[in-house]
Amino acid sequence: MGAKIAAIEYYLPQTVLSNEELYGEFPDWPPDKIEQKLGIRKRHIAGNAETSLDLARHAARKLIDIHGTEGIDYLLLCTQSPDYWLPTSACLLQDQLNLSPETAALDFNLGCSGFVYGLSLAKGLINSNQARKVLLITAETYSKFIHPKDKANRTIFGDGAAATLIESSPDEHIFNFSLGTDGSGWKNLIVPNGGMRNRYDPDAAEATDGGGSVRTENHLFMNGPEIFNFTIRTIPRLVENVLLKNNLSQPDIDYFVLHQANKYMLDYLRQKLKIPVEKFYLDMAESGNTVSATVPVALKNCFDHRTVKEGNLVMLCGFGVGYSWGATIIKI
Amino acid sequence: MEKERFFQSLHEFLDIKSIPALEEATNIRGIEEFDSMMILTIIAFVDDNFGVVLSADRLNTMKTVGDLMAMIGSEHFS
Repeated sequence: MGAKIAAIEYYLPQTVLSNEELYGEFPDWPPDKIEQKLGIRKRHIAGNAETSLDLARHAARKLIDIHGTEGIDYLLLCTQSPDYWLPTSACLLQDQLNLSPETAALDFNLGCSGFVYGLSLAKGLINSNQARKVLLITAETYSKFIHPKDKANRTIFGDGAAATLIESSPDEHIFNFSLGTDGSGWKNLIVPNGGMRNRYDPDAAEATDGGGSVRTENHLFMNGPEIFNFTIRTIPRLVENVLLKNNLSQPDIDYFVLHQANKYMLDYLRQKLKIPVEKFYLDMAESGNTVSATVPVALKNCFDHRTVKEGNLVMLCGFGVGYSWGATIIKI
Repeated sequence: MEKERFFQSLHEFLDIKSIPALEEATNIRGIEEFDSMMILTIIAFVDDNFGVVLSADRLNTMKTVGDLMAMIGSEHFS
């Protein structure tokens, strides 16, 4: 017995922020330069009254419209922008989706590694007979954390949600995982205020960084160079470790889907890992970096475009805020 | 790496068009193309060619190409 990904659907909010609109606000940031360097043409932004939970519900309903709710007995929701401190967003979603009261539901708080961790949890739940059909939602709205004058982060991040159905299967389609954490990087991608350690400060001072982006301690901060250092230090080792854990070598992998952080970083990682361009997913032009949703969004696009086919081995890697990272190999 | 080759490779890797060449005294932050992405490109260049990780804090203190060479380490240059 094993587990497999049975279906994925995703939802991106309707409001679009284009490179041209950003250029209107930041005249030193031409649209072609953004696309060339970061690989993004536009990103979708949740409305003022629209939350991660709303995006999660849209994505889940798309999936349920096709596959129904029959047999779903576990709901996992990954987000860092919940509706409330409490109750748990997954509980609200169980009600909104009319899932059976016999459904277990919980949130977990991770960013760009969230989908891989969610798969790891779902596989464990299924293989230990605690669940038969898991609905894994990865939903994020970083736009709500970003200062309106933060050129860099407004360019990179988009909002979105993905719903993934994982179910028991006669054969194992989700192979072994390599997971890791280095909490010493906590300061490098953070919203400092608004939690219990530092409460939201209505008088927080604005500060401008060297690149001209403005923020306060109430807003998202990303130390781009340190995140880049973390990535080039960690991901090659992660790829090697997950191959070792599965007794596979790089040529055995038909396709690689890494977290879509930005084009520059992915190009560099691909070259460093010596992965052929035709085996490597790189497409964030229409959605930007949607945090925990990028990997399932990419996988769904791969299924739809027949980039990956039945029997293919696909490596999935997520990495980011925490620092937290994870990888696995799935058989389509 | 020979210094001259370093200047040429870095100039090419950073895709600098506004000045014909780099030298030790060139102020990197004064180059027309300089932006936050150039810092990432420098990190990638140094990782790729020297296997050296440059922290963001150290890079914040970098002004000239010579400063960058000092961070990489004089043992890497001839």
